[in-house]
Amino acid sequence: MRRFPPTIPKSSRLLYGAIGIAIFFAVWWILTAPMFTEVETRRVAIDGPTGEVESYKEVRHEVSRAIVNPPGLETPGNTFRRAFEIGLPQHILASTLRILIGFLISVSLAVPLGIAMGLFPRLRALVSPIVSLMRPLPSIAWVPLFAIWFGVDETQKLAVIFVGSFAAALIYTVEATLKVDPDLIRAATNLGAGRRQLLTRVLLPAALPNILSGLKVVLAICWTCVISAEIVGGQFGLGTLIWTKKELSDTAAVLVGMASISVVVLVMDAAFTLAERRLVPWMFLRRGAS
Amino acid sequence: MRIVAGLLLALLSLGCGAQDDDTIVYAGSAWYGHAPVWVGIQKGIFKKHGFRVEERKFGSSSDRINALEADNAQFASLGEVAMLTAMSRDRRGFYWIGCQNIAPGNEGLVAVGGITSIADLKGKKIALQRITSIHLTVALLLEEAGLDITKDVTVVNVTDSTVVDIVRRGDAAAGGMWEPYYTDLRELDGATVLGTDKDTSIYKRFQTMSGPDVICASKAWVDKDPARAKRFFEAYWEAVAWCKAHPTELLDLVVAHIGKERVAVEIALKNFQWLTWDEQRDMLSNDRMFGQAQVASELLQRLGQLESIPEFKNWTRLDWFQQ
Repeated sequence: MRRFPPTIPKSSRLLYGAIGIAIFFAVWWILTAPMFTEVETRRVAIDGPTGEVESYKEVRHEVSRAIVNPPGLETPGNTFRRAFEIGLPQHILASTLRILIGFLISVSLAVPLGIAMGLFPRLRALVSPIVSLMRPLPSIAWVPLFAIWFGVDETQKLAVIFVGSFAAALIYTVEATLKVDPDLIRAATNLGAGRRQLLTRVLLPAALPNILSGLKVVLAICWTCVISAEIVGGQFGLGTLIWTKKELSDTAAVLVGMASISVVVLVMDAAFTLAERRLVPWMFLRRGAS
Repeated sequence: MRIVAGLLLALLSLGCGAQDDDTIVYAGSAWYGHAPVWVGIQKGIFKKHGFRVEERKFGSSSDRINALEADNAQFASLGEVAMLTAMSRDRRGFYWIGCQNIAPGNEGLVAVGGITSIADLKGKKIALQRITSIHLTVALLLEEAGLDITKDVTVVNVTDSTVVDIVRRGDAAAGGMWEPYYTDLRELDGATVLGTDKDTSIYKRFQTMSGPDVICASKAWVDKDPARAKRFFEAYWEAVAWCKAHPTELLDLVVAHIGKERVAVEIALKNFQWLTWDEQRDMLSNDRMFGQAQVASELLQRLGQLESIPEFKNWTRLDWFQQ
């Protein structure tokens, strides 16, 4: 019987991944590289003897055309070149630092509260309605209000990241705590574990893998928050870069900003997985065994 | 299934306010420079000439250019700076039709916290909206005081009323904005007006704002029926002439439209010179708008916002106006 879900060796996975990326760039290049020439009629203003516009002439102008022309979309080569012209490292650094600080503030409050909510149903009943009201609000909705309350400096940006990620971090933690196998708690209690031991030796280690999985998602949510927060008042940051360059129809720079977010998220994700391996090594042993 | 899909599409079109083919969509905002369209609709001027016009709000001038190029809107009033940046990117999906007003004195740089001169701003933060007329105004005001906007101050890029909030909170030493927010800036505690667009070299040379209002039209729409488009703009400029001839009624209409205090609107509208159809040819000349656009483009290039200076005359339709 075939194994389910079907898998392929790691080397094949890498090969298929590389082919997928190559296809993506090939399609992009096909869409944007000049493929044919087109004769276009352009109006050209003709100045009279006084230097003022006197008439217009129609000039036949041969232009190289692609399926999608700039400023709609630049070629991969032009987009790649643009990455070196727009001070990208400063923008990446600014956004990443904001994310990390905002994420840490959010997590340091949401995780203890989430565990407490998982353990105490009355507290859960008290806080849940507020979280339910906050959760559907997209981070961008907070931007105008926070600009008035906190200005447009770092406080405003961290506040947007915090409110945008707090509810998600809290819900993941509550869910992870509620999912802990009650038999584990019962067994530990029967073996004489005290409250503190139950919390530190049983509940936390059992809930941690699910908490960390949730926080990985929260970290990605933080990126949507920082891009919203950087719409206003930013000097540096990928959000500032994207919004400013959009005003100049500089689509190559906008794409570079977007691609940078993806790359940084991938790097952060890998770093998070490494941290997970350190914090919950048994989860990876279990996954490896299965 | 098909009926359900059809119904959903119909609902979507209703929800998105899709217009029929004859409706001419105008891309506007809350700025007083859009008043001729409000007049044209409310006073029935467009209707009299057989046109149905619908106004839609677009936050930024660059979004209005996008709407024109996509033919989602057929004409728009926007800031000249956005038009020049689009032209410098060789975006050819629109025409520069004319200039409906000159309103100098309606944007300026205001400082708080005891700052009384532009020189005092060295090393401080200024809140303004980048790549707009106020960006040029502030750059020119600083230049005349011996300061470089790219080196001597920090520009905090914010939009509309946020400029006022930022300066009120003390997060920036000064703010630059246009009406109606310029009035709000001047009303802050301890506010000092450091300069307006009337104090810039552009105004002294061309008697225009740093980035005046311009009227642009979708190229696809104009080229489809140039004679009809010309007739439409004659109707539009009839509405502009109405604005010029009826200042008191215009004030009532604008106050009702934007919901601002009457006194503030009255002060702002006093600075407006409405330019008629007959005046367009003189406005779009080297001594006025073309000369100004050249200087503005050069400044934008120095600020790193334009890669090349556009041949903006090629986007115009001066053949519509009397020589």
